[in-house]
Amino acid sequence: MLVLGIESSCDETGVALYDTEHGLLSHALHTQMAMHAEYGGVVPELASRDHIRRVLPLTRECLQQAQKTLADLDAIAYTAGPGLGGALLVGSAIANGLAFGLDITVIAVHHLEGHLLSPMLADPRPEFPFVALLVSGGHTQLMAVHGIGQYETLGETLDDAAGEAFDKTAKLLGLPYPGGPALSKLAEQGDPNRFSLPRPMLKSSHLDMSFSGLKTAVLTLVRQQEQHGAIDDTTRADICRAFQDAVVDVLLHKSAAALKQSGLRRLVVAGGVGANRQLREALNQFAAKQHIDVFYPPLSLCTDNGAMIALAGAMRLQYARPAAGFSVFPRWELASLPRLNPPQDAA
Amino acid sequence: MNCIVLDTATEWVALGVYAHGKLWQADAHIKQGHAEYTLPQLRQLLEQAKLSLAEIEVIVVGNGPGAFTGLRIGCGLAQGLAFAHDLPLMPVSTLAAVAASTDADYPLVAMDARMGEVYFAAYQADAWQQPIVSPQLITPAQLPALPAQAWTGCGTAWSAYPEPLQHALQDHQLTISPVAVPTSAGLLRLALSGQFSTVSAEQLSLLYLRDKVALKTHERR
Ligand SMILES: Nc1ncnc2c1ncn2[C@@H]1O[C@H](COP(=O)(O)OP(=O)(O)OP(=O)(O)O)[C@@H](O)[C@H]1O
Ligand SMILES: [Mg+2]
Repeated sequence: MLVLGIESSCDETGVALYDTEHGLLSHALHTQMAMHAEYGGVVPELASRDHIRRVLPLTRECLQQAQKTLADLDAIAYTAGPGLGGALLVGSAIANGLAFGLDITVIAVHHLEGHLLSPMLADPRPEFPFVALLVSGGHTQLMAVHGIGQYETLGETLDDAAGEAFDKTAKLLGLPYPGGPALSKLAEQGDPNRFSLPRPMLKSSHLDMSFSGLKTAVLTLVRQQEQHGAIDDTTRADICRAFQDAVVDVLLHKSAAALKQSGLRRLVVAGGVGANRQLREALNQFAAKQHIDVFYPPLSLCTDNGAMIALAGAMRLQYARPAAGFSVFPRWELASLPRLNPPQDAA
Repeated sequence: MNCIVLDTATEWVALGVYAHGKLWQADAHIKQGHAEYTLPQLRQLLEQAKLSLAEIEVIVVGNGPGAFTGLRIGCGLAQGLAFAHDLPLMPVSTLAAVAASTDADYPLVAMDARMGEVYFAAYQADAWQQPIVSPQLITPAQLPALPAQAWTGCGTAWSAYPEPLQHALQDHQLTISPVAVPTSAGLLRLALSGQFSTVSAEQLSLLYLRDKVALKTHERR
């Protein structure tokens, strides 16, 4: 079965073709980062205006890359939430219009399920069950995943998401938008021993996290340093390093605790912050020591993309329905998704 | 010319299937429900008209100006439908569609654009591509100069901003039409006028008129 995936929940338009037998055939992406940079953040209306210009050209590109035609499609998966309402509606409308026209089915995909399953686009791919560390711009969660739609939240951030903390801290340090990747690059040149920042909730017995205090701690540190004059590049890099060390430390400890608590031996990391090199190194080292298997999506598929939506749609083909009236869900609990029915034995 | 007509830039959905000389329509006041409403109704209309999508020759779509999100639902659906069958799209102005939904000789379209502004245009009937005043975003108190005509006001702004609009037009002959939104008949009238050209689904562009939707970082200081 060949599934077209369309992602338009935020500031990336992604389209992909996933084949249930042959895996990912093609994917195409347009990021609006440069457009939103001038505004210092995502402007929802501009995001929607751009999505509607991009979806069809990206779709054509994907079909060409895979040497497929629209007639080869069996279903269209699209992100129905969570995300920006207006942006979600663009992808949903085009997906439903196209599926209606082709007389094929649609699958409304949960964006975070897409992130969560995206390590299945890598080789080797994880088997169920596993612990998932979902670290993106809007979410930071640890989950026990027993199968598609069987998601048990073990812990989550009580305030900012890890990616959000990266971005806000970067902004505070005057780094160019979007801050996360820029901050992490600077951190690699920073001295790990110069500053130390608090690790919120590190010692607590539960698996919840908190990152907003860290941002405040950075602000205090910046103010302190500014008393000796404007902050130079070395100091900025050292602050970045201290911040990144703290975030990575928290994510590592909480992941380790989640594995221990659930008794599971596999860890899956997904979401934009999963691209962070230092985080990957820390998790890999820990995993090697503890004989845990860690899985990541391919580096280019950590942030938003169509491939993870096509994949999640392909996993949920049993929930496909004819194109018809549709709704989007700007807020949508992952835990509310239905589980997959076991395959029916052929009678 | 078998066609689908669709406009979702207002609180209404204007939706019709024109087949073998007859218009099957499902215009409805649905407020925010464009996404839920349109495709199921289209399916019914096609059934009633005993027409398959493959027999459609063109999709006529209102490309604004209007409510941004609603506008994009119709345009997105039209893009998907057209792309599926490599059908041409015929974008028509939502303001021209309101004008063509009246039987006035000189329709004066004013649509409530919120924030104290209106989308405004003036037409001579059946010269849809040469508006007397091209679609623009203005405050009701600052209407552009108009030639002396027997104007017919149409659109949602005549009830949203009655005083400033009527005051600005006090030297003109003016009747107010009850027509406030585009109808499928109005869209079809534009299509049958032969005055509008078609584009591919990928080339569809939307007319927002309100282009300043946020401040850039350096403008906020
Ligand atoms: N190398 C990196 N190090 C740290 N953070 C990073 C890195 N690369 C990306 N990020 C962060 O990842 C986030 C973007 O990831 P993603 O696209 O998964 O999130 P999102 O789609 O915005 O949020 P959500 O999926 O929760 O709605 C941003 O906050 C960005 O700063
Ligand atoms: Mg995301």
